[in-house]
Amino acid sequence: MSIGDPMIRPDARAKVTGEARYPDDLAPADALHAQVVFSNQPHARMVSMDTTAAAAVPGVVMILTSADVPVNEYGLTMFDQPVFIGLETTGRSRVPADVSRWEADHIALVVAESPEAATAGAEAIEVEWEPLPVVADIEAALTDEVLVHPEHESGSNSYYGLRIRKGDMAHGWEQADVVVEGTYHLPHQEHAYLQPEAGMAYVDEQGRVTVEVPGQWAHEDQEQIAHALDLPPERVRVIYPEIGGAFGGREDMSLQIVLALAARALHERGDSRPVTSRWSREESIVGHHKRHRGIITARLGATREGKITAVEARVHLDAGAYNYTSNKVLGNCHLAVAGAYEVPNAHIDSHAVYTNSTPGGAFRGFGGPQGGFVAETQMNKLAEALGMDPVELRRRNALREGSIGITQTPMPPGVTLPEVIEACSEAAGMDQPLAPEAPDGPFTPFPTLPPEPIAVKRGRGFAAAFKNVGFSYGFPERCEAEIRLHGDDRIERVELFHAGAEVGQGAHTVDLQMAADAVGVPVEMVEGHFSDTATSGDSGSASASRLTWMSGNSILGAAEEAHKAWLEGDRPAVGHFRFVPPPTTTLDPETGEGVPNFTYGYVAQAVEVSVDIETGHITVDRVVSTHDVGRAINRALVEGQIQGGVVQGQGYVLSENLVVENGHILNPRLSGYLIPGIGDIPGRVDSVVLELADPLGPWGARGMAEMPMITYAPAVIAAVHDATGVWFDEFPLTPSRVLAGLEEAAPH
Amino acid sequence: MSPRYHMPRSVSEAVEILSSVPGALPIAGGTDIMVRMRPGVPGGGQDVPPALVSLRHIPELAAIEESDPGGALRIGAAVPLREVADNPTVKATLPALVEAIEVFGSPQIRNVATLGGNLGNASPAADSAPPLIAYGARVEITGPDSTRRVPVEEFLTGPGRTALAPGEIVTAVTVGPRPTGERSTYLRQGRVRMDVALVGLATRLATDGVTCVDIRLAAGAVGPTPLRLTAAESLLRGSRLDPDTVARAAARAEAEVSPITDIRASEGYRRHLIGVFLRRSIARLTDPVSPQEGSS
Repeated sequence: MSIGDPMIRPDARAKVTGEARYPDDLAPADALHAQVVFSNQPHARMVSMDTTAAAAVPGVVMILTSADVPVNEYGLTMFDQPVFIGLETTGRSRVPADVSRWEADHIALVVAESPEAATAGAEAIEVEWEPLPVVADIEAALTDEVLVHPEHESGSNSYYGLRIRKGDMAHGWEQADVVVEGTYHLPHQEHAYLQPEAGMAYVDEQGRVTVEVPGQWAHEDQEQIAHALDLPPERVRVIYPEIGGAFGGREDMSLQIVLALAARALHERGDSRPVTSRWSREESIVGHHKRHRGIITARLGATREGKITAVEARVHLDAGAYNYTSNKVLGNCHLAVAGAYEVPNAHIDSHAVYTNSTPGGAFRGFGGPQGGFVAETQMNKLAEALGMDPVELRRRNALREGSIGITQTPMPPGVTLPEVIEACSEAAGMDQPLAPEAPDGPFTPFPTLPPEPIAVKRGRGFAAAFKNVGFSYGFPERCEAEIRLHGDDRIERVELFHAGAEVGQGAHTVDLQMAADAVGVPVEMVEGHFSDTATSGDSGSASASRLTWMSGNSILGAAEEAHKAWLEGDRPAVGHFRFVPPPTTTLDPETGEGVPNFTYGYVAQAVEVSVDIETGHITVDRVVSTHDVGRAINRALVEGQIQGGVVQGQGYVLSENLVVENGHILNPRLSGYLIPGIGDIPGRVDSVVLELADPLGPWGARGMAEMPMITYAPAVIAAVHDATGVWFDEFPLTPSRVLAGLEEAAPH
Repeated sequence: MSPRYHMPRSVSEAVEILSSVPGALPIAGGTDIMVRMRPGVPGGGQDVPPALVSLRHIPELAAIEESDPGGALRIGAAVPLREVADNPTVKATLPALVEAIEVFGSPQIRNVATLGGNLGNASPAADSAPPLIAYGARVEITGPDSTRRVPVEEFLTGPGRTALAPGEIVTAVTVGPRPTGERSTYLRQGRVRMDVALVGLATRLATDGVTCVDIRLAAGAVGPTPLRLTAAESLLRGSRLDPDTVARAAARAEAEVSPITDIRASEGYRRHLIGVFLRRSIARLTDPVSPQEGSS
């Protein structure tokens, strides 16, 4: 029985010893090197570009520009982005290419014999720009004085909106004894995965343009490459080597299309050498999207007894220069902002807004952290206003089995939020007074300043949330697996073919465990063939906390098919299965009515902090992170996701402060953009794992990977309020922001 | 593209190369220089000198020596910070320097970064500078013709600027004998554990149990160079260290620093921290039940 076994991941040894091959380790000695050239112009019209001098740089082999792209456009959900900004095009794209809308828009790819020659070539490209006014942020965008995409002819930068109109707002406010409100400024967050973008491309022995690159959805990469290169998808092959983290940051294109273009162009010249490219950390931080920054205004009303009567919210997310997945992220934020509660009356307007800033896109939680922060901070403020225990307030409103959701349809079966809230409250001792001293833990938070007991205030906060598992809003959702059973009288060997991306989370480990269990053999007997569009069907992405859930269901189906074939005498017995979950729908444009998701995961967290009120420095002493995972396929990997999500949340709420001015990121380095180090992480993280089966989950499993991220920021903010009496509606809580907030609130 | 790399075996050889190759840069641990040399965004501030002169193979730069029993301590410029902080004499006599090193970078950085490099890089936030200034340390400078010694606060002349003339290198830091009974500490704060100091304060205090007999305060990251807080010092020197006096000294310290606002912190925040650090340092150094230990 391999389900539930915290087995050591098969890739552990190679990753620890350095044998594992990441995309930057692939290039053979004779590989060519490519350098992407960024425009460095947040908003400017190209007047001229001259590559003559660059082409003459010794070692430069070729320079690709907009003229070399058959269809100069791409985008995961909308084609609104040119592959290259440039004046010459094939005329087959709907996106004007003569305007740079983002500092990291690409203008060329320089292919050379060495990285140094490629860099020298890139620096020798001469471009003349006519500057355009920069739409720097949401406020500037909403004036519509300057349009980022005038070609859309909508007359507005606000390009995508969603509504909720539920119940009777006048009645809701009338019934409310208490109303809380706030305007919240949510910050960007950078993925900061260990491995910056890198990859290699060549034309394989079957003539396929082949790109080996880290990503989250091999078949989607294949499709976007094929679109831009104007090839049928089967003429493009995408292979994922080891991937050094993703977190949503690899959902969109970085090097995929430009490397494919280069490989094809070299092949056409008769040059069979592979071409490789890598981004520096600075290029990575400037060159891929971020968690959306946003401005959210919200009001929440409740009776004296703590029953919610009305929610009103207005959401603006900064999509940046291109959509990426902003429309989808907005959809999640739109649902999350009302909280995981029964809300009889709601009025919510959400908008994605184009700016000339860094694009917003997918990042663990996908709109959930922004919406959830507002929902949970509003709930904690409501608890304070009512004089009610924050856990009790949640008990009285939590979604439960059979609840009608904010989109006016029943929640999918298997709602376990009440159980998660109780388990978290109990494990954290929420009904007991907070201990004056921080508890012991495996990590001692490592302040650089010796603590001054008299200045340190302790506090505790609580938050709960839900998050969809799987694609939403009618987006086509499916997952394919193939299982082959080898042997004669009995099964001797099992092969699993699956495209799901192993981005570090352990996806392939649980795939093997699930395949072993589904077939009924020991896990050692299963051989995995992963993440190659030439050998596997479409799995969908490693995102939306969906992969274990979707892969498991596809593997169960494939195992069943393979068993049938086995009984019919096929050798090898092959089972191919395409799992399709229950359908979802878009929301009604007027009322927001609809079935946005087919299942959810549930989370609650309690956080204890210490705040040095003289310096503003915060340490997190203890986190109780409670998850209903349905069934832990591999408990060690579940806990890894919890610990990792908490640490990522720690950076989001306390230290990660991306500075973007007039469309330029000013701190594109990890010395200036501060992710938590070992000395900054919480002293103790208690993982509380419930296993209450999801009715549709494989072995009852639920998705859980995004959930620890969603409640962490509001729980910390509530704990800081508990310690200091001050609410912070903007974060990260850098020491100077905390101190300024405390001073502002202090009686003068 | 790549710089020439020289490996001299003596100070005179190093000085000779530095004098004859324009733009040549001395390198020891390389923790600042290598970061500046790496390509980031093309055309975005990569700083590659024409030649690097390694100071890692020169024996006299690699030693910590006491000139005679009870005499001055000479710390070679290329001694890694880890070794400096582990040296028994340094531990016994320069605890604020040890504290500064223990909060400096990461263990890996401390294993290779050197005292000479930290001073030579001349960051206003250099952690080693405030304690060395508080101890009255001098920088030993060797050039083609002579060796001279200047106080640390005179060696550092501005952000990234020092009193080194072309061809000169830092060969050592020297600290005079420490009187018994003196106590000292270094407090600093970053936004996270491994961060450039937002503010650092070294305090060296001698008391007769009640009154401040002597005090020296040196602050980092609150001006273009690490600086002495002489106004606060003079208020405290000869005074009883009661809370009211310490609070007045903290106010003076806040007034006499000149921090800037940048991405890391605001000017006001840094000013405020100096006052907090002064109060906490004196509380720490006068606490009879908590004899000073390394801060971590």
